[in-house]
Amino acid sequence: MVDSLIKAPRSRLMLRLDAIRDSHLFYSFTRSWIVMVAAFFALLIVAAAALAPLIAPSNPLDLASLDLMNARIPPRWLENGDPQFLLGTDDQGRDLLSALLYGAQVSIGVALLSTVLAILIGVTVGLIAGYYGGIIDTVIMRLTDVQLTFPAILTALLVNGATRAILGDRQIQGSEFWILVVSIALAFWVKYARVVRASTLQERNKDYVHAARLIGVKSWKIIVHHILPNVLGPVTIIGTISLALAIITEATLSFLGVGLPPSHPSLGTLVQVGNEFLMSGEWWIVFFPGIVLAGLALSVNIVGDWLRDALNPKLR
Amino acid sequence: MLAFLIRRLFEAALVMIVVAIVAFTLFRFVGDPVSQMVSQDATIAQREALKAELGLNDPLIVQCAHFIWKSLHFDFGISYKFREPVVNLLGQRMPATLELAAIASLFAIGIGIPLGVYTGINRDSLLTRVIMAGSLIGVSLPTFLIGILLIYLFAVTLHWLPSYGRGETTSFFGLWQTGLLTSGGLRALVLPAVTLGLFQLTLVMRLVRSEMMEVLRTDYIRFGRARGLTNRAIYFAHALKNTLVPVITVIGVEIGTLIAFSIITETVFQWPGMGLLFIQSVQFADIPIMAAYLLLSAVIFVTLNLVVDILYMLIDPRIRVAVRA
Repeated sequence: MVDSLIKAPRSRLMLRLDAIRDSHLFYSFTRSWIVMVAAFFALLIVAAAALAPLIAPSNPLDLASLDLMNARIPPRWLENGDPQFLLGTDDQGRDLLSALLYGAQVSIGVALLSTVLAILIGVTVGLIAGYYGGIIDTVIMRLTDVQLTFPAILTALLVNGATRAILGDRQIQGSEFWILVVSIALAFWVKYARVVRASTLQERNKDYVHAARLIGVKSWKIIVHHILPNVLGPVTIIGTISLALAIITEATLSFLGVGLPPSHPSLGTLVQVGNEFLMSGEWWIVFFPGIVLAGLALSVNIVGDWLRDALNPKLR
Repeated sequence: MLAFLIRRLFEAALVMIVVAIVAFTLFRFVGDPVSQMVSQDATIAQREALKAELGLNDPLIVQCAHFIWKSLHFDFGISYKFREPVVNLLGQRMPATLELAAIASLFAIGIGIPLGVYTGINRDSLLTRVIMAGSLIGVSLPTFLIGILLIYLFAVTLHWLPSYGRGETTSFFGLWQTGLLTSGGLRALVLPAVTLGLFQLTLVMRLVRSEMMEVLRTDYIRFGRARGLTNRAIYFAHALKNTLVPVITVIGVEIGTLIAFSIITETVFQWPGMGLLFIQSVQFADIPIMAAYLLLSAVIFVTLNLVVDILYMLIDPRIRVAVRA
C-alpha cells in the first residue's frame, strides 16, 4: 500500500519525458487530432523518403534497369496493372512508387537544406544589423526592403537564372540540386533577418548584455553566446512554416523546368512529367506525386500553424 | 500630407535605383553582351569594335547611367534567343498577362469579400467550418497543382473549357490583343483566372473574416443595434466599411504577387503572357529579358505600394490626422 505510493526514483531520461508530457506544448498537441494526424503523416513521408534506398522496389536513378516496354503501366489494382509495379509506371518505365520515394527524398532534402541555409544567412545578418546598428543597420534594412518588394518565387527564379547564366549549360549538370538550395535560401532569408534584428535591438539594451560588455567580453562572444540563444524563439516558428513554403517552392521551380532535370525525380519534376500524359488519360503519373506533395505541404503547414499558436504567449 | 508624399516618393526612387543597379549587374556581368551579338567566327578586332560601340569600355558608373537612361526609354537590348528587341517581346505579351491578372483579382475580390463577411458573421456555422477548411487547403496547395486539377476536371473529363492558350483574340488598334470580347477568349480565361486568383481569394476571405469579427465586437456596433438598425445596415454600412482599409492594402500588394505568380499559371496553361516569356528566359539564360522583367516588375510593385499608401490616407481619416501630427 505504502510502497505503491512512493514512486521509484526516476531516471534522467524518464524525467525528461515527464517534463515533455507535462508541458503546455504537448498538452495542446494532444488536444487537436488534426494536428496529430498531420504530424503523423508528415513524419511518415519523411521516414519513407529517408529510407527510400531500403524500401523502394527499384532504383529509379539506375537507367540500366529501366525497360521502355514497361512504360505507362497503370496501378496494380486497375486493368492491365502489373503486380510488379504497385502504383504503375511513368513514360520511361520507372516504377512510380520508387520514383516517388526517391523524389520525396530530394524534395525534402532541398527544403530542409535551403531553410537551414536561409536561417544561417538571415540570423547572421539580423544579429549584425541589430547589434551594431548605425549605418550597417540602415543599409541592410533598406536592402531587405527592396527584396521584400518582390515575391519570394520571383527572387528564387532570378537567382536561379543568373546562376545558370554564370555557370553555363555544361557546368550546371549535376549541380542543379545545390542551385535550387541556394536560390530558395536567398529568397527566404529576409524574414529571419528582420525578426532577429528586431529582437536583437531589444536584447542589446538589457542588463546582461551591458554587464557582459562591462567585464570586457568581446562583441562576437556577446552576440553568439548571450544574444543568439535569446532571439532564436521566433526563428524556429518561422522556420517550420517556411518549410512548407520551401517544399512548394522547390516543386514549383522543378515544375517550371528550372529545378532538377526530368531524369532526376523530385516531387515537382514527377508532376511536370505526369502533366504531359494527363490528356491521354494516364492520370496516375501526376496523381500520386501531386497527392504526396499536397499532403506534405498541408500537414507541415498545419503543424507550423499549431506551433505558432501554441508558443504564442498572447493566445494562452 | 505633402511631406509624407515626398518621403514615400523618395523611398520608391531609392528602391528603383537599387533594382536598376542589380539589373545592370545582371545585364553587364552575368550575360556577355558582346559574344551574344557577334557571330561565332568574328575576329578579335570586330569584337573590340563592337565593345567600343556598345560603350563597354567606359567607366562602370557611366555604363550604369547609360543602362538606366536606355531603360527609361524602353530600350532593354536584344533578346539572345529570339534576336528581337526585348521591348517588342514584352509589349506583345503584356496584354495577356494584365488581362489574366485583372480577371483573377476581380474573381478573388468578388468572391473573397462576401465569403469573408459570411464567415465573419456566422462564426460557427457548419458552412463556415467547411469554407475555412477549404481555405486552408487552398493556401497549402501549390498553384500548379490547382491548375492541373482544374484542367483534368473541366477540360479533360468534362470538356467544358479549353485547357491551354488564349482562344480567339481581337485586336484593339493593333496595340492590344484582347481575349475579353470573344466567347472563345472568355472561355479560355476562366480556368487560368480561377487558378491564379484562388490563393488571393483565400487571403482576402481570411482577412475580411478576422477584421469583421473584430469590428463586430466594438461599441459602435452595439450602439447601432441599440438604435434598432437592421442587420443589413450594421453589417454592410457600418462593419464592412471599416474592414476595408487593411483589405485594400492587402489587395494592392497582392496584385503584384498575382503578376509574379502568373509565371506559374501561364506555364500550366501555356498562356502567351510575360510570365511564360520570363520562364523561357530563365531556362535559356536570356539575360536581357530577365533584366527587363526585373525592372518592369519592380516598377509595378513600387507603384502599387505607393498607390496603396496614398489610398490608405485618403480612405482613413485617422491616418491622415496621425501623419499631420
